[in-house]
Amino acid sequence: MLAPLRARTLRACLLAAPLFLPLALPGCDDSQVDGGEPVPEPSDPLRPLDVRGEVPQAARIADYWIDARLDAERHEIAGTLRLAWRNRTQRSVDRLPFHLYMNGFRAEDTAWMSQARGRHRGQKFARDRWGFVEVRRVDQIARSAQPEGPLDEALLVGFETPAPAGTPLEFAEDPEPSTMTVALAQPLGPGESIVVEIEFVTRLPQVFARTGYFEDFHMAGQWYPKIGVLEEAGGWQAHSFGLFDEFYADFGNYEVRLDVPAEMVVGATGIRVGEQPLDGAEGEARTRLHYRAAMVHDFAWVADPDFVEHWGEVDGIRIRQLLQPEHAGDGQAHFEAVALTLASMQARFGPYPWSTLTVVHPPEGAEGAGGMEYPTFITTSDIAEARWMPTWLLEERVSGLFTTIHEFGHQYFQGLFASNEHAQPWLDEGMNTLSNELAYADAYGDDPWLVRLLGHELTSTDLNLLSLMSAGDHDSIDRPADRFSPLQDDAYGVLTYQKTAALFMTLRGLVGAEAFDAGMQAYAKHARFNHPTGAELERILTSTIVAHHQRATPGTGRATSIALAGDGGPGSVWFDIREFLDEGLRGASVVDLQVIEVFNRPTLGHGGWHRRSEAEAAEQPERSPIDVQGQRALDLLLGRGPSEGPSDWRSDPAGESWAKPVKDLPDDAVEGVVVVQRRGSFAVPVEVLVEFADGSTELRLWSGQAPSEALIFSGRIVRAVLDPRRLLHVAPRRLDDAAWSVDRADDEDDALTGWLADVSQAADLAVLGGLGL
Amino acid sequence: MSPRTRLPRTRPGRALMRVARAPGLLLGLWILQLVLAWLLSAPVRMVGKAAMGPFTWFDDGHRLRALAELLIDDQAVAAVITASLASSALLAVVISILVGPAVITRLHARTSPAELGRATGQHLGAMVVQALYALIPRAVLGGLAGLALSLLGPGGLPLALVLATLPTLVLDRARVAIVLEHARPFHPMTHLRALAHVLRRPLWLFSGALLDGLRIVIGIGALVFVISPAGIALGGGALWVARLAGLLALALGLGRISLAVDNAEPAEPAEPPAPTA
Repeated sequence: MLAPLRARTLRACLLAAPLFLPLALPGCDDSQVDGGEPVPEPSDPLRPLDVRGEVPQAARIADYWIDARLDAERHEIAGTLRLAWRNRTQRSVDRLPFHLYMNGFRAEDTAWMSQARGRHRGQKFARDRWGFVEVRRVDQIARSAQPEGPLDEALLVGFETPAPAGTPLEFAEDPEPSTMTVALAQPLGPGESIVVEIEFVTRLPQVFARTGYFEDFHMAGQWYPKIGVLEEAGGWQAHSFGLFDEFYADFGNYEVRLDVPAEMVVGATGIRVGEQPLDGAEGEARTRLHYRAAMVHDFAWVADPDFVEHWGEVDGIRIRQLLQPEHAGDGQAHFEAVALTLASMQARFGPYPWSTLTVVHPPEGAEGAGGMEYPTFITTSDIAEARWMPTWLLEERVSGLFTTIHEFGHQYFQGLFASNEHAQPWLDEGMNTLSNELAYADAYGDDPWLVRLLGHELTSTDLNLLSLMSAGDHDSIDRPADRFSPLQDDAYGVLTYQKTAALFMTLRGLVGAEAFDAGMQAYAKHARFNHPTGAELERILTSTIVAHHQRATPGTGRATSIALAGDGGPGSVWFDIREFLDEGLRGASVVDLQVIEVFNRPTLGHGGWHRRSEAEAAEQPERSPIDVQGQRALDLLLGRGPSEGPSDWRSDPAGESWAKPVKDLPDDAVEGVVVVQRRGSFAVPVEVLVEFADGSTELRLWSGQAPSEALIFSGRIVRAVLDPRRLLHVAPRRLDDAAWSVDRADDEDDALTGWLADVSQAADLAVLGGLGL
Repeated sequence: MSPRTRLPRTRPGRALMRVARAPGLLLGLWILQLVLAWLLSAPVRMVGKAAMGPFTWFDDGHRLRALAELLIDDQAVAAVITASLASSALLAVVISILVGPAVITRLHARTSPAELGRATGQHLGAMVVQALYALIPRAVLGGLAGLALSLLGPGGLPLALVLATLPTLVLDRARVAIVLEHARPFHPMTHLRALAHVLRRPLWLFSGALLDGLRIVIGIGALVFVISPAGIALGGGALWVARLAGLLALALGLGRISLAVDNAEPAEPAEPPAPTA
């Protein structure tokens, strides 16, 4: 789901928010088909085996067969679902927990509503337009001692034919009504499976948070009872539905029949495999649509009579968009956004396994449904319109299209890598935001601009840094969703989305793109059709990066550390990836570094008294007392210090360095000092760039481990800059990262504030001229 | 049509020549603007420097982000910029009131300092009152201009410009009527008559709108140039471009007032009624 803060940050940055231009995306390759001609429905919800790769059978846990009818007047969905659930753990269970997400919207005192207080991402709850789900019956239809086989037969009994007689099961809502528990008549052991049938009625709320209706538009997400996830180590995972909670479910196949008014244009997870006209009551024309989805963990659908369709195809994946008529012209831009994201993510994280994607554009008034992801089905937002705005004034690559890119990214980060969004929201939202930044970079080059105002660019990193300024240090990232305070809405968004992405972009910058990308590929391979955890990501990423460095330069990788500078021997700068991730994910700090002082001082000479070496002493002739007395008299006469000392010592004259101001010394008699400081606990290596008086530069890596350090350079320093390549995406404050040397500071105007004063003067002139006379 | 009801012709060329014949006025006002703008921006420079402390910003590719950081972390900078702009707006209004009668008198080819001073002293109150009257049409027509823009988009720009400029032209006419034609200085009818006067002269209306439009475009254009990377690349020269643009904008503003002066029918003050025996 799209971060609320991101939208706010962007709004703050784009002062002329309604004045946007359409995005000009790079062209798509010849394998793409797009436009108004319908692309035929794929015959299989999955892409061909040789394209998508193997789908592990063990990942298939929960199959659903749902028959549902939409009452568009009452905004209700009456349905019966049959669930085949397989216990693939070594645990025995005596109950089945189910999510009743829609009950989060049924009263003020539910966990969700009490935290949201009727508001979500800028949308308001419409008074008394509650939503709920009522479960009327739970029956056990079949059981099997095996996870496969007889169950499929029981499941595949169509709703047209009478269901086999079931055994009623006891069920009850939990105290927090967004979950319910079904008691099994007998425990279900390891390797066993069960089919239950549930009759339910869901009333949709007027949409303000992902799901619901607005006039004829109906967005059905989290609309049916959904079983929790049984983990080998953690047992049942079925969390109460809170404000920042999203979802967690097992993979399975879906057969869904939807009975809807005939005028509705419908989109859904998976592919449509059947369509049958029906005669509804009182002559109402209705249609029964049959959808099929394979190896997904959710099923969502949308119905609206006003939708117009836009079709496209990329690499054999059918892209169907359902747009509002007034935004029909934006279909191509959104299609291209999907295409570029798909290209980036397939290259980085492996093939997209499904044969279709549906992109939904909610109508005005139903914006709360936008910016949400479901398997093979996403909702987006509209491109802001101001086509007459000249490009020299404002260009942007954000509005609407970022939503499409972000939600498509979720097809991997959570759709395919099905992490527990409740337990570790950063693992899908944050890592997906990272993948979005990489998708932009793949399309436009490193750190591309997202907004260009009067020729000045705000890049992806710029926007991230600005958002980190607001709440980047409010708390740690790695926390369950219900540990984020609803009173700190910004903190959830900034930490979960932007700071996570910034943290991993920083890691990528420090260890190198190649090693990092290899680590992410290894993680993607592990996480595919799996329930990965953050710990697994950290472990895989760390070990792959270390191995990569060790392979490239033996000796530069050990345990969880790599040598960023040096060959791994003494003097090398080591970077401990595990410590970095631990501080970044479990600590609350952001990186905060500054240049305390930049100055030059005389180099050390050889003046003064030193003991002679034995060789010198042997060569030195012994002086007579008369010589010594004469020398003393001469020193006294000339007012010099005594030039005679112990016989085995020698005296060298001091240079002029100490007698003159540093600025008057030749450059080779001067050395530069840069004092750098780490403020806060987040220690990272940082590059320090110094520029010398002769125009040359030197880049040195400071380990960042000590609270402060004085770095000494040969030659006269003019200025010093921390992190000149902007590798530290998690260091939001940058204005204290650079300084002139003290002997130049008074002569140089600051480029930023000097420009600001010039702008202010030009504005004053414009106002005086504009209003005067 | 009788000679009494014949309308004086609008001659934009002749009006602009009046400005050319008053270079001292133009330069004087320009220097005044330059000094004021410099003074008003000095606190911005100082507070900016104080906010940066010993640090310096070198990262030219990310200027907007740096600016945002500066404004977020040191809100005094934003406050001083706002105060500077507000002060310049206030000063602009004060100047227009203070020097209005003198400018009109000078454009009417009177050069004596005494006459200019007398005009200012004599009509100051009337200038204030007429400026207050002008607030009403400014609000109404400004709203209509906004409506035209929102409904018609960029195609509505000429209409919006004419609507937005009309109150200024009316105020010009009212001032000229008071200074040169001895119209009743405080009476609202003076303002209403000025409105009718301008509306009956489309050439005045359109040439005035054009001059004012150009003035605004030049002012904003200069500001945009200083902000833009092209302006930054020019260094301190960008500010001089803005200053020269200010001179041009000032000339256009005087040209607009000159339209009213050129259209006036100067009259001697009415003689007081003779005492009756």
